[in-house]
Amino acid sequence: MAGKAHSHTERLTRILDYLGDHIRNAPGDELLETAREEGRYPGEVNSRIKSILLRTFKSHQQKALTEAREGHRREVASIAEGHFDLPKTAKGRREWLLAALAQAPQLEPAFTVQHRDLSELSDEDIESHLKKLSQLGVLKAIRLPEEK
Amino acid sequence: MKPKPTPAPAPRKSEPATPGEIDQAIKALTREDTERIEQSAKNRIYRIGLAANGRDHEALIQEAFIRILDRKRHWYKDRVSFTQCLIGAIWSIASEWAGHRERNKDQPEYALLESDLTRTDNEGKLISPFDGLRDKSLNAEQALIETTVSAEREAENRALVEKIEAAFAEDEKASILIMGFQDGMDGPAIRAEFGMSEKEFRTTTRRIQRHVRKIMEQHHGR
Repeated sequence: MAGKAHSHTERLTRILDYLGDHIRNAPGDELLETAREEGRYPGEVNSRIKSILLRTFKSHQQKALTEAREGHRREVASIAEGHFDLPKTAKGRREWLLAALAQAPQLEPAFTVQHRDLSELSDEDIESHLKKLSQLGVLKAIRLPEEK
Repeated sequence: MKPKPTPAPAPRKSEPATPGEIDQAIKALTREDTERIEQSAKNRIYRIGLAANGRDHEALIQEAFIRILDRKRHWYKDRVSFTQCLIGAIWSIASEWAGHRERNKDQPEYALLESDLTRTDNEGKLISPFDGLRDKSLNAEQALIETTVSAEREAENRALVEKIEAAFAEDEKASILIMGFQDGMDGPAIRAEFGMSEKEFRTTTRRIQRHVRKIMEQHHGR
């Protein structure tokens, strides 16, 4: 034993690793006894460590909640500001509305009651209907004709 | 014909603990648990030295816990206790910090005080450890800094090892254990070689732990 040449860094590392393993695995009452022998108060350590963990837990939860709220706020603001990714041309928008009505036929009565002939809808009307459908989340499931 | 044995139900796949379960586990931590957590974190901070980069054991505990909350490290409560999971995370993060320092030895954040490492060259010119960082072409100087930093670290650790050995100069059993630890022997091997009872071994280990902790705290100025 002790015949091998090790650097001092390695020797210190091994001592600390051994003691680290001992701390991980020693019986709890032994750790408390060591603390008392050193004049430390395990009760104080208990309150301090718990308080660090609980504070971290609370701030982590609050951060997650704030992020979720911020995400929701951004989504609502985006809808309110009318940020819709609509087709650029009037023809494209008309095709999208027709595709929506074809793929969600339950919506058709509402449109045909309001506008007897869909072909007579103005581009403004089509854009307004598309925005409403987008707010309702209907457009997410609709595929454009060229994507079929 | 023997009836076919009913296959045992597949073991339920364990799920990582929920935030509510983690909250309950913190509140239920005993004095033994928190003592183990604190001592483990201090041990790792002493172990990594400069790689801690000014962070203390409480910062290490906090970072380990955030890993669990971020679900980068999972706590499976049916496999290990919360304390053991947190200590596992503490060891991993300390290793990461040490690894980061190893890969970035020449970064100023890990250097000792510049004045401590400033040297005079053959022509009497002062060489700062940060000169190499300012001009990447000075590879020889960088190599010199690295050698200097390693030598400083080795000298610092030599002083610590000598202090530890001196503290037990009159304590034969503790000296044997320390030599055994340095040689990488485990507890059972040391006990077998020197015919030590388990009780004797544990008492001696505790004595070493107490003194080493004191020496390391003095060294770290706490």
